[in-house]
Amino acid sequence: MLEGYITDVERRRTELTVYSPEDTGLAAQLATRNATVEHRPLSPAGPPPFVAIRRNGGFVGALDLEEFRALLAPPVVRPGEWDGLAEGYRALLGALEETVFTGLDRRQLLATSREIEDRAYRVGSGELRVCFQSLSSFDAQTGVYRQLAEGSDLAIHVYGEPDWTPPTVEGITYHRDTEGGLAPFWCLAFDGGPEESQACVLVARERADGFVGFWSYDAELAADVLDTLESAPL
Amino acid sequence: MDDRSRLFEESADVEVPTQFGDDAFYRALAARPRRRVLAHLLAREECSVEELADVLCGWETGEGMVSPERHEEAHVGLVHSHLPRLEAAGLVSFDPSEGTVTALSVPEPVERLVEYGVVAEEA
Repeated sequence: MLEGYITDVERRRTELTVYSPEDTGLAAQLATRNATVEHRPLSPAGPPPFVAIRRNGGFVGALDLEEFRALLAPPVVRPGEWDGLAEGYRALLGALEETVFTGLDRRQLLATSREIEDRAYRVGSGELRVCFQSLSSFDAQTGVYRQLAEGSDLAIHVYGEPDWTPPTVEGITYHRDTEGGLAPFWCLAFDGGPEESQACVLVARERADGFVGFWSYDAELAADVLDTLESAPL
Repeated sequence: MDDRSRLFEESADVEVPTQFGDDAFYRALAARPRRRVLAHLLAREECSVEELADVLCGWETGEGMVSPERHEEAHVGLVHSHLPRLEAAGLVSFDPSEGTVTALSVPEPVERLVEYGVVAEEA
């Protein structure tokens, strides 16, 4: 049901240019569906290796190569605890917004999810709808979400296959996906509350070799996904 | 043999680049971005202005993600200031319509000086 969002985003082109003295093989590691990776040589006297990110031909950011590699092993930090280190990661997420990545693993999904949850936590109000495929997957998140619900005025909605009965928490409404339409999806959407600029959304679909998905800070897209989840036939 | 004659004796074995007696040459190198651009071109020989703007941004990644605004500043600086000065000093050839820059052949001591200029930044 959320697949269309992934295909739409896929149509936009991201180009990554890796500048380093030797080819790094980063292309294989990134394995994205709508991003091209090109290597250009640097003089050994030149700047430290870095990646230039372009979207639809326009420059959107440049980042030190080692920091970029950190995308493959991102920090997992609880909401409200993001510090300077994680800010670099947040900037990277911003630059790679709306790039479809394949081969995402749970750790990366979790890290990006935390970024969204942290935003929601800091804003303190608004609508946050999340789907971790099954309610039993949510089990690992209950501590975090209890903290989110108790520490804010967020209206939190959790979707998942009804294979487990989650604990009652004030501020959290559970939606049992009996039809199973949401089973392949890991999705978070936040409307930004009173601050539209804080809206964000992550949509990922599980495949045999990992997850394929994207994230975006576009308020309209976030609102769309929130609507889709709200009116999902469960 | 007096000192001056000895100096010329020694320098006769090495072709002293004419650039080293030229104010325009030193003016061309008297800006870090230009030294950085030249060092890159000496290795690449030819590339786009866009790539040079990327490289200048690459020098600033130590402070975090480099913004599109910074990249635009670098691009404008290259086109309107740095590349014309490097070209005036006979160090590069710049084609604004193609957006390409070519390093012109320079003597080895000049290459060495440019490289040292960039390596010295890390000291």
